[in-house]
Amino acid sequence: MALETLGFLSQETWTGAKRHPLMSIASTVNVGVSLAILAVGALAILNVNRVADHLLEKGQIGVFLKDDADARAVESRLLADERVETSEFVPKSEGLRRMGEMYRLPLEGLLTRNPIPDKMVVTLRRPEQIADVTRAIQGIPGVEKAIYGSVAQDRVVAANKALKWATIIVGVLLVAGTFLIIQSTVRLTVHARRHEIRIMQLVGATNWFVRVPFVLEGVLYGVSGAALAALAVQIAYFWVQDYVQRHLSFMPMVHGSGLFVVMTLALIAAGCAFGAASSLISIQRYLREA
Amino acid sequence: MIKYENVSLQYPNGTRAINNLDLHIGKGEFVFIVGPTGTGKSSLLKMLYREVLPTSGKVVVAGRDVARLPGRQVPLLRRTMGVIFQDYRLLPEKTVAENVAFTLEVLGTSRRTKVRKVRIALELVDLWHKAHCMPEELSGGEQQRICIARALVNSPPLLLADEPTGNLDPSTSLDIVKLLEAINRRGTTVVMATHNQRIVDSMQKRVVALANGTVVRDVARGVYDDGS
Repeated sequence: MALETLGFLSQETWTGAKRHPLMSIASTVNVGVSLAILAVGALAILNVNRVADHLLEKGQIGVFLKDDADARAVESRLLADERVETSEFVPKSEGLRRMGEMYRLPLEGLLTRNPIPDKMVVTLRRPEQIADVTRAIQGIPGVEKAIYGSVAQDRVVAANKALKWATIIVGVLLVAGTFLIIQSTVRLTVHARRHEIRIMQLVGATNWFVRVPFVLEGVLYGVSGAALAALAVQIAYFWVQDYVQRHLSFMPMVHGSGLFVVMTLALIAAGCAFGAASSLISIQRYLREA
Repeated sequence: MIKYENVSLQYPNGTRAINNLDLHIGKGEFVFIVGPTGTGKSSLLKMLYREVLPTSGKVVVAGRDVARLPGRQVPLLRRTMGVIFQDYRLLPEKTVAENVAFTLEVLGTSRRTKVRKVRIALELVDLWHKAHCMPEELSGGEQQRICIARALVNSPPLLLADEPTGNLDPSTSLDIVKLLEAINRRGTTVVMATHNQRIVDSMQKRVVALANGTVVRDVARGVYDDGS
């Protein structure tokens, strides 16, 4: 397409958007709000996943030893089980240090006595055998308690599943709403310019030439809305991250500028797709009538 | 240039607009299609630019069978003809020059060529001095001349005029038809549907009279009504 034609079509797009400024702003804000909610849902899922991963490395069992247990004897019993791949001895001092690191607290300085028992971290060859192996380990003399993060992890996984579904359902509703809003706005333009469309066709414009300004108008709403959403979500996320760091410092959060680059690009791509698709639907009826 | 072979047209509501019509129009001709309202004049023209498709028969424009043309070639067909309407169909939010340039925008013409062609077309209809006016600032006759300039700007070999004087006073109507005649002298085929008897009689051109969707009279240098 020639540069001049593109210029002409862009000008037509702008003229279309200016024809009903309030609807154009409403469309943009609506796209922005919908995409922002979707982005918040996605970020929440990412963070819950992160918490789940943090709670338990897959296929690992924590074996807490009694105070008088013989760690070597326990270890040799553990390794005798062929389902066990490795076993790592974590003495109580190391356990305290690791916990302090996880919660970003100077525990060693705060506590007068180390309450953490000696521990063995057992990794299995096949994680799905974790429940059986845990039961078996529980019976080894010297073992106080053998646990895997089943309860906590199951809860987090369940929460994540619910969150995913909520995001999908809310997302579908919002996408449908956004679609309708952009469609109505573009339809206003299409209706206002139906004579133009007719004349375009009569002087030999292809259907694609007729469609382009309307599709660009939809894309304009979509991309502006996506930019608004990206900005708002980014600001809100930084604020939440800062709050969590100050008040719930043990909670790990997904962060990094790469995340926001990906999120912004994804939002803009989604905005583009929403805008273009809903405009195409709006214009199609008029092209058929012609 | 144009051939209708045993063409019939029935609209979805059952109205039969054209009945087994045969008509040939040669290159460079000036033809009046006449007849009272509802005899199928507009339908005859609409089939040429594929606004409507014949129910049966064949419509050929410059060697192309219009009805059998694939959809993607319809724009190419339309670029070979200019269409003038009774209600002008100018774009109210564009200036005179932008209205005329509209055809060229669609074709992706370069800016320099666009400016030159718009000037030539507006000079031909004697409205170059109003290039920057808005359509609403012009009289009916001037608006129709802009419509003609828009139809001509791409130098199409065929010009179709559907009641171009329908909304104009007698003297302006005559000016418009004189303009079309001048355009025809430059080699453009002109087909004009009208029920303006005074104009048809004064021009002494080929007259094709329709009644009930079929040709009832075809005279080389005719008048609107020969009394038969």
